[in-house]
Amino acid sequence: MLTYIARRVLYSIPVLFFSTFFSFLFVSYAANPLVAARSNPRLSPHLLQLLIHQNHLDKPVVVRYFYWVEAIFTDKLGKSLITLKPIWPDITRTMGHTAQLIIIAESLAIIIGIAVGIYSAIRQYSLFDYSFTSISFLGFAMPVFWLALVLQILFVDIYNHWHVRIVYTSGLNTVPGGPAWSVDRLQHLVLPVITLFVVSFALYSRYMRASMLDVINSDYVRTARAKGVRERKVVMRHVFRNALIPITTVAALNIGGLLGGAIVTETVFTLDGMGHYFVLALGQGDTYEVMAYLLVTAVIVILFNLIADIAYGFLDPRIRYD
Amino acid sequence: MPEPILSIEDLVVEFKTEDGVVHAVDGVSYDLFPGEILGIVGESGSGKSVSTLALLGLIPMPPGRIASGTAMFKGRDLLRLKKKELRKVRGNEVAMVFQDPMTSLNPVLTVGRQLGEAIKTHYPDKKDDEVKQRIIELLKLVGVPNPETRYTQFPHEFSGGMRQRAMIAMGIANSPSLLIADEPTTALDVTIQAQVLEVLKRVQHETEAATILITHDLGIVAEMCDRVLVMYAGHIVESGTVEAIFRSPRHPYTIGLMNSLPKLTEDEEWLEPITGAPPSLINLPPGCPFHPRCFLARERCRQENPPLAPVEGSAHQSACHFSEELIGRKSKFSEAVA
Amino acid sequence: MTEFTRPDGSSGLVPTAPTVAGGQPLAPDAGIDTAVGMDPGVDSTAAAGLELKVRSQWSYARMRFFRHRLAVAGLVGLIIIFGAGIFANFVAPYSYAAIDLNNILHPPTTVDKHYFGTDGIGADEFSRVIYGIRTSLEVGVFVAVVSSIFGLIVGAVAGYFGGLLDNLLMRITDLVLTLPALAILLAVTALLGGGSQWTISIILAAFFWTGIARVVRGVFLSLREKEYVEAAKASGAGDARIMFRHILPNTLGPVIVNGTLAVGTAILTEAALSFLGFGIQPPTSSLGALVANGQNYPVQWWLTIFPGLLIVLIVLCVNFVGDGLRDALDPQQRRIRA
Repeated sequence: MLTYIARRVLYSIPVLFFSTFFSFLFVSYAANPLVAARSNPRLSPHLLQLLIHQNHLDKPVVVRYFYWVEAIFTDKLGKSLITLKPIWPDITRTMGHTAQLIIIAESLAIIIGIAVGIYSAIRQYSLFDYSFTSISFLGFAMPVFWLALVLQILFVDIYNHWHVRIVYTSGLNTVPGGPAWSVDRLQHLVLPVITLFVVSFALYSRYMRASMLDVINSDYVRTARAKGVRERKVVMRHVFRNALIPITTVAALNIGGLLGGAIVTETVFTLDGMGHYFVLALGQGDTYEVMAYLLVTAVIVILFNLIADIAYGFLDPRIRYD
Repeated sequence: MPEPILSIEDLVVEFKTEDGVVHAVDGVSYDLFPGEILGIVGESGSGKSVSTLALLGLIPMPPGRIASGTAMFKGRDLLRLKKKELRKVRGNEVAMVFQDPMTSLNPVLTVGRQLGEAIKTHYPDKKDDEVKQRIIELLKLVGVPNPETRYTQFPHEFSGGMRQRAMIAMGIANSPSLLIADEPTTALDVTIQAQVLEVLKRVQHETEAATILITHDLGIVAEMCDRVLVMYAGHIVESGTVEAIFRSPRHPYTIGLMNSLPKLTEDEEWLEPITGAPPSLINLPPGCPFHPRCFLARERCRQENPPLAPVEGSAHQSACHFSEELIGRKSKFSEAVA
Repeated sequence: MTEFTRPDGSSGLVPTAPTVAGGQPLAPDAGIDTAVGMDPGVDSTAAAGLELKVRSQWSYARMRFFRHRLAVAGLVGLIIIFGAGIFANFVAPYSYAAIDLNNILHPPTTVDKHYFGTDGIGADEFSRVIYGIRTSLEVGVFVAVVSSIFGLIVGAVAGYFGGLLDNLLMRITDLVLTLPALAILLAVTALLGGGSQWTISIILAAFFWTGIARVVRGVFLSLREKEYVEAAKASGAGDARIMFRHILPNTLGPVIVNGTLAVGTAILTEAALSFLGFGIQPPTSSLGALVANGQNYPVQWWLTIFPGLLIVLIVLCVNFVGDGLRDALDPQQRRIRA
């Protein structure tokens, strides 16, 4: 098992290398930092020269890439070319906020989604099943940004009419920089969590249902019934465990969608998270900030896939890791 | 005459499909006596599996439906039992061994656990050690080598033949009085088939369970069974002892079946398949279901469905209006049986 | 179900993999499961008076599709909505650019046909939405068609030739499918300068083909084993062409389904991009941009609700149709062995 993990990590490195390399090339071409720096009014000629020298902006792109890689380790991702602020603190701070949002939303989606999926499969064609099928279809059709906006408008409306604030519609805390695990923070996160929850929930409930139905009709379930096992036990011990296996893959594939959804959600609710950071950086054409985001995201996705693979191995004994 | 342990009367099983109602089993009646091996032979679609699945209530009931019939087993009608009661019978007094050992075992549970489940479900008070010992004994009985190690392994670590042996072990774990084996060797290689059949024979001998052996292979029937039912399109078309049927088949379908097999002892230029195609079970032809393909077919066959009637004493029955015309007609296997 | 590669390199099946963009996943094998039933078998020309219709594959598929009520409803919905988009010049009461500063921020009313109200510069929201529908339609169809064609070609080549080419394709698609699509698309459109409807469409298509390539490759891989042997035997020369004539038709089903669902995903993604300001810029109307515009006027709810609602309706209908197609082109017939 350990060799497998080691092998996967090793394999991830060239993947990371290639994806960041091509991203860097692309970003540098599209938003030439040299040009950006030269047109930055805040820089005096002297500072400009210093900046160019420090970041090697006069060197060819490929060389710059390797300086950037170096900067990841030595200078903690370096500094933004536009604001001249160090990137690391910003990235870690925003990453934390996004992580909080995503973890809460995804955990809820997985738990509730799987439960609904199981029950829908057991009571196929029931009112419950039809209702949640409809809800899921809606979930798949709903643009994340629109849902976020609708919720926001709704609660802004409620506040305007009745002057009662149940949940907040923007920001992470009433006072910026507030505590991460306070009622205030949770009040601010309710709407964003609901937004991200809806789509993921639709995903997990549908896939779990499909997986359950697939397994429920398999031969080994029939064998279990033929042995006289109680139906509930058949479902829990035989059906559920097998049905859960493909869900790990689904969860792994969903991380990309979650991060994408986070971008939009954070923008609408003005949350100080990674997605919002990214959008702002794009707007300003800030090469290094954009690269920082892409790097972090790539690492997260790769990590997530690795975790999913390992979980898969735990659930399915047919997988050999040596 | 001993009392039959299982007595099925006029069983009809239907399935509702998009294209219409499929009559999978269309009025089947037979008896099974203790200690005997009864073979049910027929093509895919003949209703042989469905008729036994119905006994244990394993037919998915939304599309499937037991339209009528009774199945008396030890004084109770299996088809009318409440779910709870039926569950007590399954795997306990009546056990089933399925066709495809690859897919019939749960891939994420150990073999030992699954076999143990068969016992624990009906005897929850038995201690784990006891159960484990019993399972290991059973695995030994069916010829699985190193049963102690195998106990903790997963199904994918077993070979096909071994898996089927494990399934058989699972079936006899609670010493059932009735064992149903649904094409137990169809999915296996020929050499392995022989071994598994051997195991089945041995097991049947040890437990003295009445056995229903479902197969499409006449060779297996000849080897293993005492009596045999020939099914076609949801009906029994012929029934009798293996000897009687092989010596003197009295239904055109049975004859066709036997003739279509290649004879290994002689040179044959051409094989003789049964003409025509398998019937649609939604739109069964009127009268005898076999008449479109039958070399004996007459006007009466198109109109009247022949009932199962005795041809030589009550032991040998055939569902053909003109079964007398087949008297003296030898099948390919007549010499072998004589 | 689609095939994916397990950690150890083996292949497995998962309910059709989601394509993720802007947080929008693809619906899995949803839809009402078809009735479990017996395979009616070969359509037999039975006795006189009982003839089963021999249906071609496509008419059978069409029949299945129209039996699917939701799919039909979706189709009708799409015809209405997309029809309005196509004939926008006739349906929309106002031209897209018509400004009426006397009438700004008017709530929905039947007066002057401002069914969806007016926006900050007095333009009719209903008309803008209709033109937005047209844009969405153009983008969605373009992306779906182009990515399907390209994905089909690449997937076929990779699946057939295998080896290095296949490996390369798999690595690329792996990367593309798991990295956050929206992030990458945002980066590309932001830095390359979006704005033009066709630039966005091309960029989206360049991203979407990977999903379809994967599916096609899977089909080719699985069929290559089967068909290849026969094809090689049957005719030594030109077997490549034979394979493309035999295997390719089998990929059409999944490609059509995926392509249809891609229309919805493309529309959602484009809307998200436009909403964030990096997608289609005015004067070309985009539903996403309309919603973004509405964000400036939280009190005038009609400016955000209606454009977004149309997106939801379109994607909902597309998903229903895609679902119906999936059922029609790849029916899950579960056979009960007789």
